Amino acid sequence: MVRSDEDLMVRVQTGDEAALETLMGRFKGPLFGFLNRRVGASAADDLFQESWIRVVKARDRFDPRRRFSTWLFQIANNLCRDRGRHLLVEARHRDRVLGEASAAPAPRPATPALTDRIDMARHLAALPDPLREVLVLRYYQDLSEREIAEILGIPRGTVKSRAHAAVKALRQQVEQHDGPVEETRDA
Amino acid sequence: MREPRNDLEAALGELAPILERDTVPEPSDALVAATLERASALLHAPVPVPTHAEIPVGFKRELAKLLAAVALPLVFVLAWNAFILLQLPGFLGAWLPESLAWALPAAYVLGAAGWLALVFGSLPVVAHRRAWLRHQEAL
Repeated sequence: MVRSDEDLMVRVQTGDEAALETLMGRFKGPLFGFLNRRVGASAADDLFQESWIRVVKARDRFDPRRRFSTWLFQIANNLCRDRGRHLLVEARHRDRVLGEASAAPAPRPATPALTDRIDMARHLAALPDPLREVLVLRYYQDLSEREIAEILGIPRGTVKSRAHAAVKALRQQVEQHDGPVEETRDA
Repeated sequence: MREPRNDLEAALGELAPILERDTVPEPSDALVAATLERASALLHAPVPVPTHAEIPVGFKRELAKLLAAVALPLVFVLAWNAFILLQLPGFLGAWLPESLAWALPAAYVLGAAGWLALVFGSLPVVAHRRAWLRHQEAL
């Protein structure tokens, strides 16, 4: 019998290790993808671990009437925000260093696919944080506006406007870099 | 993605070939195993019983925020009750016996005072709860 995520979390609340393993198996990909796109590959490993630690620590506060996925992404997103705040100063410094590094000739990437991946990651990373988090949850996690609003703690109207702004900003970036989107699509 | 239901979905659909370039690998087995190990260890550790006995960090700030929020309505409520107590007996005295003309506004003001006591008395409890929850969220 396939148990729902919420049922499994209720079992986790009673200390069921197998239920935790099943939940982790179900959500490891989506969560890791979300963290990768929110904070980058270098921090995703740490935040992946930390998210599950928080899930276990806060297990008694999980309300089975809520969706587990929403709760999990809420925890992960809060961790991303905390990290963003703590690393703001370091990030400025890193940007300076990266700026200097990008002035030097870059090594040629191995494959076009890798180039595409890096370019896309850069486009995403260049989006302002509030736009990026909405876009990642909406497109890559395929969550509804209601769920995103709950995860981010903002009204649904704000989710909608941020999603539109994110699409517009991303389109502009891609067009500046690659040319019109339609051409890229046909290619 | 499914058929677009609105202009946002349509716009995302247009960008899909570009967005799909960003493929993210699965977490490594070692990472998942290490995470499971750490999480399982916590799962079997005794859950620390949160104590409500101590005043949580941020209690005073929460209380100040609540007091600030109710300060303005309180002024109006007090002014209104003072008005009732001072003006209504004279007004009612035109139609009612004097004792009743005083008793009615007095009963109203006493009732209002009871509600005020209830509301203001609960503020520290609410502030404590909010500060405690904030503290727990931060763990």
